[in-house]
Amino acid sequence: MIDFLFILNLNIRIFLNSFKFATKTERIREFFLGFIGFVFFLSSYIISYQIVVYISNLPVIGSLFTVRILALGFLSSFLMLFFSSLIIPFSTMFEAEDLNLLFSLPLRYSSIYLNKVFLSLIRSSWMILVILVPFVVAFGVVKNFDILGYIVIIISILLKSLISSSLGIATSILLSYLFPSKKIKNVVLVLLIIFSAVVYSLFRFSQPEKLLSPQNFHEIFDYLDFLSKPVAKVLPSWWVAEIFRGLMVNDRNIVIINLIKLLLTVSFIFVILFTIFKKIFYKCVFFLMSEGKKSKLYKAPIINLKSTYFVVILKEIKTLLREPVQWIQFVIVVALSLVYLFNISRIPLEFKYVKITVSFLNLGGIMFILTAIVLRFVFVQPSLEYKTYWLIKSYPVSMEKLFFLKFLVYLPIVLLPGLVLCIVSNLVIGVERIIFVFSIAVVLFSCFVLTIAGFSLGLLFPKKEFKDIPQIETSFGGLMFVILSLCYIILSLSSIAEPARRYILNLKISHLDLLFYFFIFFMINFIYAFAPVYYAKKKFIEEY
Amino acid sequence: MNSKSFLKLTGVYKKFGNKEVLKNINFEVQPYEIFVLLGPNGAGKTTTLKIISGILEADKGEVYILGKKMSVLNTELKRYIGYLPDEPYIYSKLTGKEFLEFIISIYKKQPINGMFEFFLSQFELEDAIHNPIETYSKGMKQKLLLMSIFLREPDLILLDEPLVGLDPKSINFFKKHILKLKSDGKAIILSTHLLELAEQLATRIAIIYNGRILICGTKEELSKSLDVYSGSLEDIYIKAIQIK
Repeated sequence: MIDFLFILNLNIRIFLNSFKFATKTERIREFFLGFIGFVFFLSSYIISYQIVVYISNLPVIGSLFTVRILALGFLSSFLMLFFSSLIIPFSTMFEAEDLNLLFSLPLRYSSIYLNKVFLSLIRSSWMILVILVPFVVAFGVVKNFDILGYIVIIISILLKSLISSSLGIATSILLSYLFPSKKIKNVVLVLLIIFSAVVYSLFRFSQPEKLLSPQNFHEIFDYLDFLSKPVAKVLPSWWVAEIFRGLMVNDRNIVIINLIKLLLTVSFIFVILFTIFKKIFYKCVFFLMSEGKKSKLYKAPIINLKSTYFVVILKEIKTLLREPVQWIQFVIVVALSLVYLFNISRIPLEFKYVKITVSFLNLGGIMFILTAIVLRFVFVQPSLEYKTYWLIKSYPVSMEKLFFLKFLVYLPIVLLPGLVLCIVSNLVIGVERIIFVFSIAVVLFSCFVLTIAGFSLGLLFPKKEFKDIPQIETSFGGLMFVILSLCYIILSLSSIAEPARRYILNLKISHLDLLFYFFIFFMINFIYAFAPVYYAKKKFIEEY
Repeated sequence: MNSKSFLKLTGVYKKFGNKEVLKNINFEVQPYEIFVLLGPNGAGKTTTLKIISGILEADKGEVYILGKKMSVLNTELKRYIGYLPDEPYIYSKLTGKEFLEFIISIYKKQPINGMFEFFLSQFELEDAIHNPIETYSKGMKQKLLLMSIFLREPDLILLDEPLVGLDPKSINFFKKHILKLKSDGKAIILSTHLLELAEQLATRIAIIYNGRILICGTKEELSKSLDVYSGSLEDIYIKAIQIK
């Protein structure tokens, strides 16, 4: 235990030092992130409060519906935690940078293992727990929970999180034991992404909104019966929902029985985790540390001089294709796009003005999907290459040429889904030819602008140290890119909203006015594309 | 400026935040010369090499290569330079062969026939050359980067701690080949902590400390000016640091 506390003290000191020795820029970033977090917290609380009040006041079905929504929410967070705990141990346990150091110190193995499990638990669950806070507080306020009620809620949610995280950690240890290779992390990640994309698409295509409206049921009793059935009764998420129900109806027995269920499950999983899985982890770590490298049969290679354009483009494509976590994200993009198109097809489009309005708003939707694609594929590039910038800067190739070649590689990744989405969605909506051409032009523009801005902002805000690509996407720079892109989408669509409105209402617009609105549109696009380029170039020359 | 200078640094200053890492650096390097930058950690050796190679820009002062001013944007002069950094980060997803092909194509310099095979066998990289760089050890990455420089035979070679991670056979080959490049008329700047390496290879030595060049010259010139009669580089270095 002393050893565990010793390592824990080290972890805490490392964490605190990141604030203590932060530079001025880092402090500004932290403040900004804190502010964003506060706004998120406040808005989540307000929205949650409104939803809980609305649902609670529904006649007849109010309380049943509340428990059902709670159960679904807890089930989702339980699954999210399980999946995130499946991936986190690969970086915090198996590939931890300090593992060699810790094993070389006179520390008990069980303390090292306990520390690594503890860190994995924290890293995988903190964000989901924080997201749950405003919802739980809103729920407690609406339902007038007392202090004891809040304590019970906190304990039950913590126990549920411990169960799902521990199960995820145990599964990843087991997978590493059964398939002992460093590539297992990528395999798990790829399978998880495909699984999530499929589940998400299937969920959407099953039209869950039908289940929430009684008219889709033959009898009102069928509906009440459906609402009163438990959601995944054997999972701890249902037990937590039951604890909430117990607090709502003041039934102590329900609360105590479900709390005991949670406590017993946690104890059982912890015993397994700290006996059998401790031994398995030991074997896995030492196997992975001594994993051999396969060498191919030596064949005298021939190296040829090729054109600069060719080698740079080839290098970019090879690097992208050999990073499975990167290209597999195409699956997510496809799933998102399919669901998006499905949503569009569900909108009733009987009138011409509705069609044009939906088509106009559709532009915003497509641009938002494009932002997500740019964030995943383009924004992350400078961070992925950050440590090799010494090489790029020492090349006898101009920076403009080099970045232009990169742009040529990444533009099609953005352009292709953008155009497909635009064409298919407009076909689904059935817009007129002029709106069709106009939409394609706007999407083309945004593809160019978002790609340039994404790469430049990636250069301006690189994540220098990271364990996996999602850490780059969720960094301060990633957040800045998303916020700025949202502003860009709103501003550029606003600039052409007036001509669109006049077209919908069959009102005349002079050529001069039209020219003015499109000039504003071009200026917004020009500024968002080239202002980051200017600063990124400056930073690239001065730093790295 | 002196038209014969291959490389000339005049009054170079560099700051990182509030910390002044280079203070008035001046030296010249000629062809047929191995110029060694000797100094403790954080003395400014790596920053000096980064400024010469066009990776960083000096805050004040100038760097001339072949009489032309060097800067981050001067891509033409970069063609004459081969730079080995102290931390060899390279594209991990490429194979060794793909990386070398990439480098020679970027620099547009086809290696002399047979040289590729020669370096491969000298550095014992035959088995690994088709494997992704992410499977290489630090020493193997160092060898691959040295190969990428040796294959091109640039006129100015900048090497930052070149022996880190190298095995004894590779160290031996490295020393011989550096001396060969020197006799071929190349200018070489080598940054190191290793006094033995400096003693074996250096034509001239500059002792750099806390961002300043304390003393610069041949070993004989240094021992004479510091009154070190033993002639050992270790004694010269210690004395220079003590006087500072």
